[in-house]
Amino acid sequence: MRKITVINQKGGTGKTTTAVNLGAALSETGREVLLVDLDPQAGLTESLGVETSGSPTVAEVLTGEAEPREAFHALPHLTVLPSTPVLAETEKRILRERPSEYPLALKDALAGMRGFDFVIVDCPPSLGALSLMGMVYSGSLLIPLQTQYMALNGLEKILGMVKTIREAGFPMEILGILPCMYDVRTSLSRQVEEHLRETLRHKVFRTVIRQSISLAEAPARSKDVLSYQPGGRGAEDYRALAQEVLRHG
Amino acid sequence: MGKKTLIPEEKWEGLRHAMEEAAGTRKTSKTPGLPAPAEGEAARPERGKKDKKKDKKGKKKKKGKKGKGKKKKKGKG
Repeated sequence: MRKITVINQKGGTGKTTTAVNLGAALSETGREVLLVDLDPQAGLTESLGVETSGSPTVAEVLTGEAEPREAFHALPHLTVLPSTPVLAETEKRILRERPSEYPLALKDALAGMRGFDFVIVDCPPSLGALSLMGMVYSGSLLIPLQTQYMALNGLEKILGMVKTIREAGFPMEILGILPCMYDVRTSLSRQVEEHLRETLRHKVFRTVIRQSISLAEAPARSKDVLSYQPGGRGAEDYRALAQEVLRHG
Repeated sequence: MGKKTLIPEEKWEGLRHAMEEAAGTRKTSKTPGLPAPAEGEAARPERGKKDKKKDKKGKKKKKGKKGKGKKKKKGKG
């Protein structure tokens, strides 16, 4: 079972879009995929139209009040462990109750889980406790990055955190940095992408996620982009990313 | 020329450095997996070994001469 955590403390970089559509593209190749929404804003949950009222979510799984299987929502091609805003309170509670062990909360909660080829975790836009749980759970990070100057500052912070976590004894690899919202018409996008590859070399995915209206429209229809517009640019880019991830092993 | 005008070169150098440290490919003074105190502890024994050898050689000469000399001076004065 391959675990991947999608992380960037900056909002609007394409984390949720990447988690959903990479999951869908991997599923299209016949893999069993679980998507874990670790964001109290529940963007992933909502973008796939998962209804959580009355049923357990990732919050209850983290506290041990529900088994993971009880909280899973099976969609035609994906399984979702959903989130709700309650998760923000749960985060505080876990910090209070397990002050020295909280980074292991998700790892412990999902220990022994079987039946999936890929588990993709979508983190909140922060480097707080929930993100740390997500990072420690998988030990493998996919960092979506807007091809803009400010995004580079954020990337340095994430890399600093990765170093700190590694030094604390948790295995941690950077699966890759994914240039997102790439606008071929701007020289800034081209420069950032070019220099990213020159500087960070094999740590940058070959795939670039181009700006595409279908990526923005799909969540409004509660769909991933491969279901919404199978022949579109967004679907094409995420299929290419899935192939890269599969080649990575 | 236009290539590097939008984002300064230092920014890329900082990122390269940060990535090497994050990936563990850059040799830093810290031992991976251990907290900061290990850095000081790791450095001390090396310094200590060298100093001790020097001290042992130096102590025989220095202690004998200086020790006796100082006491005599103090005692007489």
